[in-house]
Amino acid sequence: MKVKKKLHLWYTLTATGLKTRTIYRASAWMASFWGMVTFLIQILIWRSLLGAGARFGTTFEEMLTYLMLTQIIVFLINSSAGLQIRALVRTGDISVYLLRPINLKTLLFFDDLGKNIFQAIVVTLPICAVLAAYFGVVLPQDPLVYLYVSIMLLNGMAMLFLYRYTLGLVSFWFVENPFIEWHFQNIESIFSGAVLPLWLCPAWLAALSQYLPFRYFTYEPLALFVGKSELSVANNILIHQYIWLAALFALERLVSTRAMRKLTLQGG
Amino acid sequence: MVAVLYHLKKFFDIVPIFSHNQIKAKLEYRGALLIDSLFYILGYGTQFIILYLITDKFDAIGGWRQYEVLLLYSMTILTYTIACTLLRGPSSQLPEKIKEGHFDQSLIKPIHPLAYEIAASFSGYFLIHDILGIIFVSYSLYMLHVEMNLIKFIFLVCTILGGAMIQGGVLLLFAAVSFYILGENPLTYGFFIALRQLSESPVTIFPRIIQYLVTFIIPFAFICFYPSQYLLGKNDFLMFHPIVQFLPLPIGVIVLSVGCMVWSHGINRYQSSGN
Amino acid sequence: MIDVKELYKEFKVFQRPDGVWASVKSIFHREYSIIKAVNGVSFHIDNGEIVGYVGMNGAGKSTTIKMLSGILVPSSGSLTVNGIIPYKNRVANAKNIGVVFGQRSQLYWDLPVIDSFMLHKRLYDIPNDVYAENVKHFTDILQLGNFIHQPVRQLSLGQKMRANIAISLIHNPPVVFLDEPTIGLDIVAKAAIRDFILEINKQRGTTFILTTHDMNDIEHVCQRLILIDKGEIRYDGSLNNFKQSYGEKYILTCQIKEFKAVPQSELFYIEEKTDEKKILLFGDKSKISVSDAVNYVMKAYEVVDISIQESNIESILRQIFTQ
Repeated sequence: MKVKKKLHLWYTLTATGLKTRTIYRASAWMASFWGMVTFLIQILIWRSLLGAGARFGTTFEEMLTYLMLTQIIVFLINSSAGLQIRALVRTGDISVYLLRPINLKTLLFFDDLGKNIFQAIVVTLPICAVLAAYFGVVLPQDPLVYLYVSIMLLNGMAMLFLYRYTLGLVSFWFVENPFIEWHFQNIESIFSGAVLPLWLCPAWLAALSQYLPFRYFTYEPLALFVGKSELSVANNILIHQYIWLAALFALERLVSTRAMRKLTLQGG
Repeated sequence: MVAVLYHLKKFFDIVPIFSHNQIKAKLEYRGALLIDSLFYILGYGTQFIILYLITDKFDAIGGWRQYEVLLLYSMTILTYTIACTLLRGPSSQLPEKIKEGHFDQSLIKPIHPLAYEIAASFSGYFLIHDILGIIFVSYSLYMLHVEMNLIKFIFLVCTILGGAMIQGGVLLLFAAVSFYILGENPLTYGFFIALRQLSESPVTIFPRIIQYLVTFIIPFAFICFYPSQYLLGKNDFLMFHPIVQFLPLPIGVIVLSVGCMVWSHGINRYQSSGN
Repeated sequence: MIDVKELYKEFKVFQRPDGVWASVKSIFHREYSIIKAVNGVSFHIDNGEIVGYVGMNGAGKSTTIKMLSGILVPSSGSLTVNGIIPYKNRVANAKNIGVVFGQRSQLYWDLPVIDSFMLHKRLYDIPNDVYAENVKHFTDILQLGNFIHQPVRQLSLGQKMRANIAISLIHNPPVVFLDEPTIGLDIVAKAAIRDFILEINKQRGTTFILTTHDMNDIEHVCQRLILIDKGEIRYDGSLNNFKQSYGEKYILTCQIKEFKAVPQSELFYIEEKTDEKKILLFGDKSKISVSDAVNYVMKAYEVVDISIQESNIESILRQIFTQ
């Protein structure tokens, strides 16, 4: 009974998120449009870099598969937590939200999910389907790979959301600067392999990224998917993911408590 | 013409008061300012590094070698930050102002709302952001061993001005959308990234249709690609007349004028909310 | 002075759909409805008048004020302020008018009040002597002295409003629009603002248009009343006339034990508030005296408590708008 209630709540939150995305129609279209333009230019750059054959052991089809999946997942976990929290802090509505009998994190997660599902269904998937049909993609043969990749991706998505959400909370301290997250995302992008896959990066960067959580978000599972890493290291990666997940969770709790204390000190 | 002079005079009358105050306010939060600048540099620096790494591995993108690509990126950043420094008020801050009904204030002042918005958000502080772009551009030019003479220098300055005007015009054009459709914010993160990509990528990698697009419709190839061809003596892409390499400034004037006109026209569609 | 003829303003409003699927569909196709905020309003205001512009929330008061100030462009109709069409010539109009929006501040959040004044001095090209005199004068009557050098964010609501009124009058505009200038203020601050309006009107012959929900504001400062309801003018004339023509009216508010079906009468109008166990009786002395009405109610219901509201503007308006 309790589970059913919870599921219903989650559904309602997701639906609300999806609906709010559709209220501002032009914004919804434009955000999607520009996201796709960026993505297509990236594809064009790789098309020009990799050409028809393989360079540095990478074919264009592999790269396309990797980039498309990265795109879909990053969009699915795209979080507006930072923006929303900042708006709530500025208007003072945050206190109202904290009074509600539902966790702010849950609320924002499902709200984002609703918005992201819209983006995925209406824009990302159709475009990716066209690209995949035109250029072709690579698919792994071994069913075990699919299993591992699915588990890893779920872990990665959880990590990504926790990370973005914590970053959003950090905005409690930077209410004045709306761009702080963009810069954070830029820094993240170099270590996460989302723009330039780490197998093409110099050794020092790949080594450095071992000590950061970002590569475990989407890079590791998708590298396995397109055959750039071996199934033999998969278990090792899973362990890393769980350690980082625990660390991110602890960090989120720490930042949450601090932010809450700051909020109560300010009186909302 | 007299009207333009009137608004300019008013603009320079009021800018010092706003600017002085903005700087004062910024300095009150010196810690935040420092962190802000640090992240700014890290953020754009990272993009620089990623491009560096790609071109290091693959030698060139679309026939443009490492520092040539980095020059394109640097000029894009510089022109973008200049446009943003000046046009923050009427562009990135506008949708929020319209949504909350704060734009009312600009319409009851004896000065053109565009001039008022620019003045009210003007802050010398953001010039720091432009410095980063200047460093990037200088570094790339230095590594490319471009021989600078007076003519090339003037050309470079005109190019940057023109590029900033193109970026600014497009910013105003898209910001004005929120006049027509209340509450919509067309200036999203994705918008900025996409525009930056259109301008910083060598035009040679695009399919023909996009090459036409960035030349004739959204003339982003004029921000840095065409003028860089002249600066670097590259004649790898001559689909259109070579004269396009010298056109950033005039194109900039046109785009900015169109942006200003659409923006000013949008005012009449403003629906003050709060009823 | 101010001339408004057959003024209309329509807004297009997006109908928000209910279900999830409907809202996804609304991305491709959506339905709008037209709201007529101002629906054929005409009036003429002479130099030096103080006019109360009154109506319920959403009646079209603010929309009219915004069109007069050049913020909104009318859908149709004509309007001039001092011979200028506001939305066509915003700069010239801005020099002629002062505007105060009770809900929004004209002051700059981080700036001390005096800096905002200085800014307006430059914006409006106010000569030094006029500026100095106005600052001194306003500081005196509105008692700005204590806080004029403080940043606006540190001011109380009343202080902010007084500063807002001062700044919108600092360039000696011949016409001033005050949109709910007393909203949220305490009685002392309200009184200060009313006195200020009267004094400036007397000294300079400034025309004021005032919207408010506080009928005391109207009774204290206005000579003329314009009543607007659902975008249309319901009354336009002197305050005295208004009181006289509606002055015979009164409202009985009765707390009762339980409801009974009571026949309506030609002589009065009864409104039942079931959830509060209350009835309101709207009466008119020319038809039925207060004591007769009380008697009637006492007989018809089991009355617990009764109060009589005689006609001040508020009760009249209430009567007009609730019927």
